[in-house]
Amino acid sequence: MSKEVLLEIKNLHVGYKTHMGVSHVLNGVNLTVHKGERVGVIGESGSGKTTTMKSILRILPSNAIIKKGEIFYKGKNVLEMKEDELLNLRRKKISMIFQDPTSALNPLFKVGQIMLDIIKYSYKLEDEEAKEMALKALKEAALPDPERVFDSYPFQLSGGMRQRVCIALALIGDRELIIADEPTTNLDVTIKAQVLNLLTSLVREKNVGWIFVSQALGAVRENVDRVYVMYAGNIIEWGPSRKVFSNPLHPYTQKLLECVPKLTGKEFSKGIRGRIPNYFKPPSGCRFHPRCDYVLDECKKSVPEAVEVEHEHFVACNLYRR
Amino acid sequence: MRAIWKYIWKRVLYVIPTLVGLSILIFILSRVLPGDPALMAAGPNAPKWVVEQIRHQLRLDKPLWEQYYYWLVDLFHGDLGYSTYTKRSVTADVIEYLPASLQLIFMAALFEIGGALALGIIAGRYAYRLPDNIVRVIAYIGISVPSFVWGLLFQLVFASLIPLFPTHGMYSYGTVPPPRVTGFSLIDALIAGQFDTFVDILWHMVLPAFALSLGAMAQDARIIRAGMVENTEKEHVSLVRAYGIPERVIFSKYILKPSLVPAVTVMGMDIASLLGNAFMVELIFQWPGFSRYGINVMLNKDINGIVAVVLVIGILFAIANIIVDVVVAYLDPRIGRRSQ
Amino acid sequence: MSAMLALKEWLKTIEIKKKWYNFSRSPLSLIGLAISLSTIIMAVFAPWIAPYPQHAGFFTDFAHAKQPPSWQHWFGTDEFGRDVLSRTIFGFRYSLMMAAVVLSLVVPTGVILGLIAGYYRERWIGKVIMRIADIFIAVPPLVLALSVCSLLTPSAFHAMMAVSLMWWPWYTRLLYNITSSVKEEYFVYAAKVTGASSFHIMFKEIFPNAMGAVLTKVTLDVGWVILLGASLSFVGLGAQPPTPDLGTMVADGAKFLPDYWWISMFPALAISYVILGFNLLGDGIKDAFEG
Repeated sequence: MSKEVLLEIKNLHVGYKTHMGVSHVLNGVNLTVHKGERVGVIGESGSGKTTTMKSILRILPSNAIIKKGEIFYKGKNVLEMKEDELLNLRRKKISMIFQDPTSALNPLFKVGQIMLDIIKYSYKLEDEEAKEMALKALKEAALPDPERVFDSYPFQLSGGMRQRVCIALALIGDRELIIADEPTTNLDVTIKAQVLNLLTSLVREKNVGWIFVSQALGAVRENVDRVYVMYAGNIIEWGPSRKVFSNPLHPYTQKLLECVPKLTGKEFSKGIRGRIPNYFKPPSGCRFHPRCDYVLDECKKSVPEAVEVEHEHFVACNLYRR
Repeated sequence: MRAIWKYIWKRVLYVIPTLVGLSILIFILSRVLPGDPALMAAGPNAPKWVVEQIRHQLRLDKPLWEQYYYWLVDLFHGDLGYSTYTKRSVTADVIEYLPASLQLIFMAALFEIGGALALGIIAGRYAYRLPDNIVRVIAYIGISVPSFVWGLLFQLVFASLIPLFPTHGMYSYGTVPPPRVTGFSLIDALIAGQFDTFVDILWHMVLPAFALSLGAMAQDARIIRAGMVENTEKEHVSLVRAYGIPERVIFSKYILKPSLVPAVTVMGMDIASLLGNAFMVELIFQWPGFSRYGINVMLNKDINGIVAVVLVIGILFAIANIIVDVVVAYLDPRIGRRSQ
Repeated sequence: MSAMLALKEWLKTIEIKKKWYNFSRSPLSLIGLAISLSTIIMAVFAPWIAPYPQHAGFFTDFAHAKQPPSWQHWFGTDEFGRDVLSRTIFGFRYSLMMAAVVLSLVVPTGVILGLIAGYYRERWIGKVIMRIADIFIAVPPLVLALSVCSLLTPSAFHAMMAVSLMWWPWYTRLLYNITSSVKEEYFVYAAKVTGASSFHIMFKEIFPNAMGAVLTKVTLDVGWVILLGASLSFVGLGAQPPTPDLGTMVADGAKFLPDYWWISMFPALAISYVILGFNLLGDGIKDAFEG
């Protein structure tokens, strides 16, 4: 492997404490991003994608517990970082775009106030320079009239503009990794494409590492180098995007891809029977086994090991064990 | 800025008919409910013609609508009618007694806001831990124990056990009240340059103001705490955290501000409880204020006095609520601007 | 009638077991339930529980006046030699009766007016109801209640009437807000489309959605009404002596502070005890419905 590893998540287990007990969401997630690489993460809602992303920056809700695992950023374990190292990581290295721009921007502060705070704490700049930097970022995010946006409250902007503001935040400084957690899910259909095009072109242009979490499979297929498929807190299949999409191995991936309605097709997919498991009492062994058509006895007993079926294309399924 | 003025103007316009309605309501109640105010004012042994004279003086011999009409005309001349209790114009009574009450309520409001902020922030900062639990217990006690019980408890503790604060009246024995300029004894003392008197009055206000503030303080502390706990888990907090803003700034800025909005919103209710509880607290601490005057006119069935007391408190309450609304609009830019 | 039907249906739809589970998870809620039940039991069985039931009304025994707490008289005796504990236990009767009378008058009135006002919020009837409610809320409830009591002859009954007169707008407001928002939900449209009457929609479609909020408010209000009643009689405009009303007892005993503190302090604690109980209970119910 010649490429330099930027981020490496190893065997991550995360749960949430609730009054009904502990929900065991992440069940050993492994994920790698190389320098300048564009990585996609796909899966149903509730499969733990956001939990994984928030773990990277350690911004999980207060009831979350990281039970096991490591997250290495350039060889340093994020989970063991001290306060100042962690702040440096958040300020200069990794940035994140949230799923819902409406709830991600504090409604009581002007866009400019939030941006200035972020820039000032990250780069120790004077007001003037910080504002210049903010306006530059807003312009980069293709916002018309950045001055006005800077001086607006979030409620005065449209949903698409709010998400562009969040993109602008993610662009400030020279980041090495941008995490985009379903950046277009909560936008109007007509805006989705615009925002996605903006984001992908910026990522390409800047050559930064990118994790693109999405349920829009077509968008992922076109815009990433490698893709990870997540189901119920596990990565069940990963590999070069081309290979995974053209030759899905895991029964879940196959079903998931079938679910995409095709404009040319005459039939709708039947969907996947059953639903994402209850995380308070997840199924034993492979968490997909209650919904799997090819279930084997051993699937119920142990979590399947990943197998490299073709070059760099891995699947964690007992059907492929040799 | 102009939007804010427009907003205030709208609120004022809305509240005027309500206040007119209130005046009609209390006016009718005071004339229609059984019991003879003229007889009450004259005393049980007064000759009949005296009672009739008072009845005439109070216009009780006229039809109801005419009584209200003349009352309204007098009101526009700044006359609230004749008080059978103080034997002079109710307007003079309002001018004499209101400032002392306002002064007390203002101090109680300061205690309330300060205490609620301190307790609420501590509880929110250490949610689900020991300080939070302690504040929760304090809050429940504060909500459950009525202000007049606090007043009596303070009387008991400070009158005999720990004579730290005075428990009666506005001045210590031997203190000369300052010459009356504004009616607010604190301000008058400063104008007269009597700093000892100023401190003396403040000293006398501590216990009644504190007794008055405790209930509302507890209520607000709980609301601030709940807001902080709720906002801590909001996505916008995750965002500023993700971009490396230090925790203390996140807490004191991005969590605190949105948590204050609901607390300020219920301030109107708190002011209602201050204005209401002042009746008992002024009685207990013999505070020479408007609420104690209110009790006296009520016990004497002084109808003009009663109508004035209700109306003045209604107006104060309305003003306070408008101030609260403006503060909320200032904190939360979405309010009052969305319509534009 | 329709309210009863709504109640029955509502009891079926809410998951009582789950609500109880939510409720019983919090020790504070259970304490609130215990306190509230204890006051109700004391109120109902006062003549059997009180050690000297004859001390509740007119009774004098000057030989034993103003005695400090002792084994014979746990809370001491008052200026007439009456047992303060017995009078306090009877005091719960008056406090809870006040709450029961006021709330049973105010809740149906306020709820119905609120439903109508919310359902017809664009029409004049809705606007008029809310404007009238605004007038009653334009002044703190205690102030108006005090005035009304003073205009009538002060008595426990008149205090109840005065408080009721002041209290209905809060329920009207609550129901108005809930109705205005629930009105726009699809199930209400669905009912309209199927030709349901306005009456049916108001009471059977909308009202069940407000039950949790109403129940919470009623419980919390027990404490507030008791507080208001005690305040009225403390000032001397509520129940008159020798009624064993807690507020009256506190006011009477206050004359003998600080030397004979027990005469006023035990009834004062009793008032706080009831209010605390129903506050905790109300919060528990609220959490159970929201959680």
